[in-house]
Amino acid sequence: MKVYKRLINCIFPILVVAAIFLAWWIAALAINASLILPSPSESLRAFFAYFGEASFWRAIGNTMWRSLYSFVFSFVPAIVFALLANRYRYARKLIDPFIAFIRSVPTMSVILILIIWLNPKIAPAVVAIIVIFPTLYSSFSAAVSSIDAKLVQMSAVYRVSMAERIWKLYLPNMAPGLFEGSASGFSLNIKLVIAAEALAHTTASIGSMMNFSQALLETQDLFALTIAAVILSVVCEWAIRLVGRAVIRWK
Amino acid sequence: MGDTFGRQGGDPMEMKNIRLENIGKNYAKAQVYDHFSLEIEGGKITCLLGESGCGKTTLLNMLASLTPYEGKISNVPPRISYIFQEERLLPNLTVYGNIRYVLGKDADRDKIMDVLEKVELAGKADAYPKELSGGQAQRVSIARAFAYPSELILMDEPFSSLDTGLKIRLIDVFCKLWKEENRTAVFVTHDAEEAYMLSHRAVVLKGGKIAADIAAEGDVPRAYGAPSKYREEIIRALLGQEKA
Ligand SMILES: Nc1ncnc2c1ncn2[C@@H]1O[C@H](COP(=O)(O)OP(=O)(O)OP(=O)(O)O)[C@@H](O)[C@H]1O
Ligand SMILES: [Mg+2]
Repeated sequence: MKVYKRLINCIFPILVVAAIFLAWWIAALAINASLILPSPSESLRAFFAYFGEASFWRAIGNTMWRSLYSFVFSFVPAIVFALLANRYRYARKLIDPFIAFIRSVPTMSVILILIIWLNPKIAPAVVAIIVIFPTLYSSFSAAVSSIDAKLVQMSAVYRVSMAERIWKLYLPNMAPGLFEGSASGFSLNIKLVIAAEALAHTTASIGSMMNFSQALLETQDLFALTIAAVILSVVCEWAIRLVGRAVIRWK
Repeated sequence: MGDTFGRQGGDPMEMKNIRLENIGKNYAKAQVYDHFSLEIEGGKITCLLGESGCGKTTLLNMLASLTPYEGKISNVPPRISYIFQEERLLPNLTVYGNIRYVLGKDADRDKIMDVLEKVELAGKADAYPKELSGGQAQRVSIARAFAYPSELILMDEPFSSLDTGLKIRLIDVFCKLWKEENRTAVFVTHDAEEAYMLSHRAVVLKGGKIAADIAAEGDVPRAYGAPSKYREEIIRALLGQEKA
């Protein structure tokens, strides 16, 4: 029964991916110009060809590292701000308009401005922080306010210390929201970093490799890099969810 | 904080009477108390009875500074144990962890296991709240209140989902603990038998006023089912009858 259920769970994503590849393959046949739309097989060949190239792995490493540390720099303040806004009414009055302001600035302006101001290695990470931080803050805020007020009251009556409350009441009970927000946030983060890398011409990065293959009209390489990016973000999202499920055993 | 709620640190050795003076309490739609006064005797067990919705939980919440009110409450000791009407256990902590949570630096494994033994839950120390029955969860909440060193213990229908045998045993346990540590206790119940067994005084509330205030003589716990004038008076007050 369990095996059967798991099989069903696997089959649907596989079917969807297969359908996408089929549609792609038919479209490529119809267009019949690999400069515009390379076929799945050409793209996959280009994708596997990258495996032998050290520069590809270096680019993957750099882009992932940038995504990772920028995510940490969004994640930690997002939690801290969400907790502060929940605890102190005045903190919320300051934080909310600030977040609304950041959120309202067009992503493209942020990217272009930061490319002028910062070095191309740093700019993509900062772009990601500026875009991801408000989204994480919102989802973490929702997670904090979903915490049972009766448990907060109980903690107050028993005079539980603030540190203890954060570790044992707030963070664990926010965990479902934290992991869910992080999973979708992190995959968006990778996409933003790549976009900013492409525009900033960051050396040895997935974004600049994409930019390069576009300029050289090596469309199959562009598709191959896209496949790599999709795999990275899917794998990361899945890994975060998996860790989440392992951590939240008590549910 | 202390001033807003009229709370003062008391000497734990000498249990002062807690005084509620001229208390007014309104929720958005309902007035629960108006010019209400009550003195709760230090080191004794006071039982609150009354119809559902008459304001018993509200009174405990005011004592615990969980809800604002008008008037003055004085001599509330600094540390309070509260058995809430619901269990209020952290879902992410085990039974053991939930008790440890309130003890903080004072947490001592033997002490926690000892109190779990007293509420007959030692075997469930590692269980999570979702794995407990209603009565078991209620007993964890009782154990937590007992384990926490406090001068005042508030109990909101603590035995409501327990069978009679267990209830009687827990009343015994409570009385032992209460004699060892001599806390002031305020005990809410709907059950005249519980009130009779486990209180020195029964206060029946009605419409935000004291409908009856009955003092008892003798020691707690009283024998289950034994004939008693105290119980008769409580029942009569609950039924709204005048003294015979
Ligand atoms: N948070 C609240 N907001 C609005 N009204 C409330 C709130 N809490 C209680 N009340 C109202 O105040 C009154 C007293 O409620 P309370 O919970 O103190 O009753 P109770 O005596 O404990 O009842 P029960 O025996 O059913 O537990 C009720 O009429 C209730 O509707
Ligand atoms: Mg109540």
